[in-house]
Amino acid sequence: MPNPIDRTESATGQPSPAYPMAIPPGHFRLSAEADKMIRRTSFSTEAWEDEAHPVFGLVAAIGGIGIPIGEVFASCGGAIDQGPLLASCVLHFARPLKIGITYQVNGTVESVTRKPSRRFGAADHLRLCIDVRDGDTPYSRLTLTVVMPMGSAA
Amino acid sequence: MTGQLPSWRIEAVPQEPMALWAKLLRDANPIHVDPAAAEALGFGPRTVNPGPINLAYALNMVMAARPGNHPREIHARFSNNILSGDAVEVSGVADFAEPGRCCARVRVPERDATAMDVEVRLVAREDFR
Repeated sequence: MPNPIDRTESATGQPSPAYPMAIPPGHFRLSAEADKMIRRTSFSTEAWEDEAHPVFGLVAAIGGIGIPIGEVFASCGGAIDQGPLLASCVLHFARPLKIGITYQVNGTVESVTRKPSRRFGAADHLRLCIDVRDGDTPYSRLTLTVVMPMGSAA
Repeated sequence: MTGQLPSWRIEAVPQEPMALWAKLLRDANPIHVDPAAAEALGFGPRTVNPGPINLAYALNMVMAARPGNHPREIHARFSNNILSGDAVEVSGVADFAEPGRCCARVRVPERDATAMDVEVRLVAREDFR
């Protein structure tokens, strides 16, 4: 099966400069059950009417892109079983996410930068940007940096 | 000038929710569900909390301290893992010079490790537009 977000390695072994690259669009159903589970298991005590826990800005973005996040890593030359790590994220909310909506989720791999890593030998830093919206109404935007161990590829 | 927010604590991070979150995130990383996989990658024989749960802990502290508000913007830096069985403490401050700005730190006291730092800009729900 071809990679949904195809990418080629350059002759030097450095990540290809062919970014930004679109991730297949997907959707995320923000159900009351999912919100309850998130609140219960994170020991949240605050809830407000039909408003979802704000961590869904991150959860809906990652869980809602058109392919699992591991396939995004694989498409960028990494592997989920090498233990990629979240490094940082920025979330902007146009409005609070609501329970009971199926959101459209669109993302891009903005960049991949290879850096030497004391722990991994070398690591690719992926920068993803993912929008969560309901039709024409924007809800949240996630910018996420993930560190993918690349062994001795530096 | 800043003011301390009430701290927030979990005595022991449970393993069971990690699989539920990983499923919702469609995250197949075995370190969240398989202690042997976590150990093989150098995390020790305990499963690793998915990063978004750690962010939820920080947001829980901030939201409890500032009810009636919702984040407009969140900046989070993940620096260490939280493992099943860890006690977790979230502390934070409110920035009086910039109303709505709070900073939170998620720590694992037993390992003297900072798991993440979070900066949140809150807006009153009625002002969200």
